[in-house]
Amino acid sequence: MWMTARRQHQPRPQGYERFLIDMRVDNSETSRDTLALTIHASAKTHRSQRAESVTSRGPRRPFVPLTIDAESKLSVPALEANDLLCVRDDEALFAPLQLRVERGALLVLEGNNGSGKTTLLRALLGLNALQATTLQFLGEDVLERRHALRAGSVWMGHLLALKGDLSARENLEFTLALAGEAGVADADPLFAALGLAGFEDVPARTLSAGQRKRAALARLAASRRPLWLLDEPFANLDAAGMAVVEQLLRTHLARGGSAILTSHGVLPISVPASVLRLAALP
Amino acid sequence: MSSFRPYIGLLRRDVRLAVRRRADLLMPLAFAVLVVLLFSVALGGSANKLAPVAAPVIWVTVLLSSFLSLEGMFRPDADDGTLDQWLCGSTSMIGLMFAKAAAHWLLYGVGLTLATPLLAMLLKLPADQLPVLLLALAIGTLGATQIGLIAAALTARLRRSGILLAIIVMPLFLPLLIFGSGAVDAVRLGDSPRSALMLLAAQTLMLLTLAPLAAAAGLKIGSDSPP
Repeated sequence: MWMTARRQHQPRPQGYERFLIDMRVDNSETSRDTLALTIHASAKTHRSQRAESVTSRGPRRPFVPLTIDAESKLSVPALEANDLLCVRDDEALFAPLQLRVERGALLVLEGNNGSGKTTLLRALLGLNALQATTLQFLGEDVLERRHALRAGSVWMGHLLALKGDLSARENLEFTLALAGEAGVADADPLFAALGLAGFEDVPARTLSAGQRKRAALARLAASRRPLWLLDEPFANLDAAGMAVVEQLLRTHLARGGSAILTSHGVLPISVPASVLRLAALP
Repeated sequence: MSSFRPYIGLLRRDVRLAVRRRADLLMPLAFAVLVVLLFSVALGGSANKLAPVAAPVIWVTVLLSSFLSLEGMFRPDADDGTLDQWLCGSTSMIGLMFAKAAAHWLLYGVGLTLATPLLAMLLKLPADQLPVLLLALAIGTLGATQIGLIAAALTARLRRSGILLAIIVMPLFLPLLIFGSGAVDAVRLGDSPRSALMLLAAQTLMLLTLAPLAAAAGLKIGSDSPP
């Protein structure tokens, strides 16, 4: 416990800026539960001109303050790996990859079932074995020590890490606390934006599969971390749910965040993305 | 104190989950009471037969019933993906293990210790032995929880880990049992229980410092295969 105290405080990078992202449901404009977004910078130096240029309509409510470093390191890729390879039982799962995800960019990993998409994401976080010549996160070498990458990314897999006996609100609170991330003061607008209004306080086991997925998405919406690793984020979701994920992704990318997601078919969203297809070895 | 937030969070989460599932919390207590009842019936219920074996029987019962709750220590977290979130997060696993053991001891160790006067009554334990027994149990269950933490971490991803858990845990309980029931035996024979209690506390302290390290390592080893 004591040993770890010093790890919790990573020095903030130079040129660090704090952004406020303002999300609210705008029922009057569109029929589906779209999130209307306004982004304004709260950093002292840029406050005046930014706030004018991007604030569009309606009263602003501070929502998720984003603490990723949005201005500096913009030219440095969020994640860069060379000759990346996942090995299981002494067999490579796919041909060696060059992986590069820019700041504000979305990378889609495509491949058939069993091609190693999930394994690759897990391996990046150190949950599976990984071989590479270089692995850099925001310019920092993380091949040997994965801590910086882990502290700067959010992983969402098939298992949603929700406790059935806790409500969506409690799940969010404890997930953020255990990850060492700041809590959300008022989670109601967040859950409303995810289409969970009225379901925040019922035990998660009583929710449907799609609602549980939305409850797990709350962790993304509340996160301040720059890299999202999402395994099949559209599974179990209806059209409105997919729109929610799309809007979360758009917000995240717009504020300088990056994301890698896996898919085995056509993406149900229209966010610009680069596609990396995992090719089986000959 | 914000750096302790994840660990206090885990402690609070586990306590809240246990309160939501009160039946699971009461199971080890009910088991302990029933085992002690069986003993007192088997030995005929007379005080002169029961008194010499009361403390050892209570010790064995408490260790056995603390073992009942071990399977629920990591299995739910492994099954719903929470464990993966910990392993790929930036929060120290050792700290989380420490919090996990603390929560488990508060829920089960303290619970069993508090139920001990009832067990002592059923076994007609002489009143002068009870304070030492309670103290020894409070220390001993803390150590037993640490042993359980290691075993539960090693078997977190195995199906049907029950018997394996027993085989790992039982031999490691032996030193705790020797000095724990030895302390009460010293009182029964008119000696000072001090040295036995000290040795019990020393073991518990050693387990407290080493078990979270071992458990964190055990969970990390288990993560290399897909769940």
